[in-house]
Amino acid sequence: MIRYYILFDNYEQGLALHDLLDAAGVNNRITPAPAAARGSLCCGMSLLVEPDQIERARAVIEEEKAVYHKIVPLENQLRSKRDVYC
Amino acid sequence: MIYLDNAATTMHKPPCVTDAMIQALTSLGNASRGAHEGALQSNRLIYRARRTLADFFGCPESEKVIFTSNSTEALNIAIQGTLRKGDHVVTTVLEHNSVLRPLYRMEQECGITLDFTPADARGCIDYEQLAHLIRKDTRAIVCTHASNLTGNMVDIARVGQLAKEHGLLLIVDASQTAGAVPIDMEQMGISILCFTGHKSMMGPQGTGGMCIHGEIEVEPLKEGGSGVQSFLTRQPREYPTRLEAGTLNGHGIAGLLAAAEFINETGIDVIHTHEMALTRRFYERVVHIPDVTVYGDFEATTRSPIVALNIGDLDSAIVADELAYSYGIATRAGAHCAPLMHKALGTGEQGAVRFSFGYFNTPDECDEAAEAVEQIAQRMHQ
Repeated sequence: MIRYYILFDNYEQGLALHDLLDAAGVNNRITPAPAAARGSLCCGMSLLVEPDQIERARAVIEEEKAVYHKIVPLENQLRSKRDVYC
Repeated sequence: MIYLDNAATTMHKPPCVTDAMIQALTSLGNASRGAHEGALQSNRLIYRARRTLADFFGCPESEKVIFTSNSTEALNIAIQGTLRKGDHVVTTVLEHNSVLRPLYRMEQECGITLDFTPADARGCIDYEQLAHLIRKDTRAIVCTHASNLTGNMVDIARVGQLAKEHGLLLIVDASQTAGAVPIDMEQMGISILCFTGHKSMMGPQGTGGMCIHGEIEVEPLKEGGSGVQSFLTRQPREYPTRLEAGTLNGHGIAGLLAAAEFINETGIDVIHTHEMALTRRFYERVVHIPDVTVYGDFEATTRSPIVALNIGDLDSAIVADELAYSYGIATRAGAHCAPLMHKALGTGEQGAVRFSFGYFNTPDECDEAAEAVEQIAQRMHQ
């Protein structure tokens, strides 16, 4: 399954968008930026957004003129424990 | 949460640190600004902190214990304050960006030259190679005491001997070891020791410092208020005033002093033994798990309490996220601001998941973390 990672140049940009998405009711979660997605943005945070929420997230970004680096779709490498056992 | 990111910062502090900071917040004036009771209270506390830390690190002159906001600031002062155009510096691939970036900047803008001591597959440096890198124009060796990625320690006494033989400055980054293992500048031949207060020292963030051994001229990075010699147009030359422009973090230093006293009362050997036992316990469990690769030298007699690993080819960020999200275990993924060490280990792309243990961790927490690693490794094949 594809998941979307929104990448940032720093944590401040990420936390700002996280607040905006939360306020708009868009499900998102702060997560370490995966190596496959981050390139030179090594070590940063990202916002993880599921496919059914990504268009809403893009709309919030557009409307609020939120600053971010890029949005990267990635195949999920690992099904979460919760998905497996619950 | 099981907190296993102590190499980033110790989240659980001794209660005396909290108490000392609360007390300081309601009782300290500004040190070296005036002679009323509030200012003197602050002066006395900072004076006591200098003396305690001088004893703690074997620094012969307590006025050469300089307070900074962290280890990075101390390293910047040490590196930029001593090196000049034409100087050659020997460092290692184990270094954190707090060493690398100031050195790269000086290489690009100030005309110093650099050589890096390589590491083997376990992340250990070759001391013979380090010695071979020393040239006629070498001015300093800048070296970490322990890798913040693998936990491997550098034999600083051996490097110190080398520095002494060649008349070099030895600047040591003790970010991962101050408070975790005994450090004696005199015995180890360290010229400038840079430390942070919020990791193994168990003090508050925003604290750290540098200890200068002997007659070394370190130029300040910043100039400004000193509370003394106000009509001088430049920063006073006397230590510690020379390197401490602006109001000190008295409240933080109160916490740092309490933390150092806690370590002294508990015994640094007791703390080190506990942390090594946790590290070894976790390592022994995870090293045998199929698909798990552990980095670092675990045959060494002593090390920093870190176990860095990967599970198969899983992205380290995905593993750390899974540990946090599904198991409530806090670790650190990615490159850990140690790009050369990752390149040397071949983990530049994948990063690594770093588990780092502290005095307040328990054996049960190690077991839970190892169990989580095992489960994730098993699920890779489901």
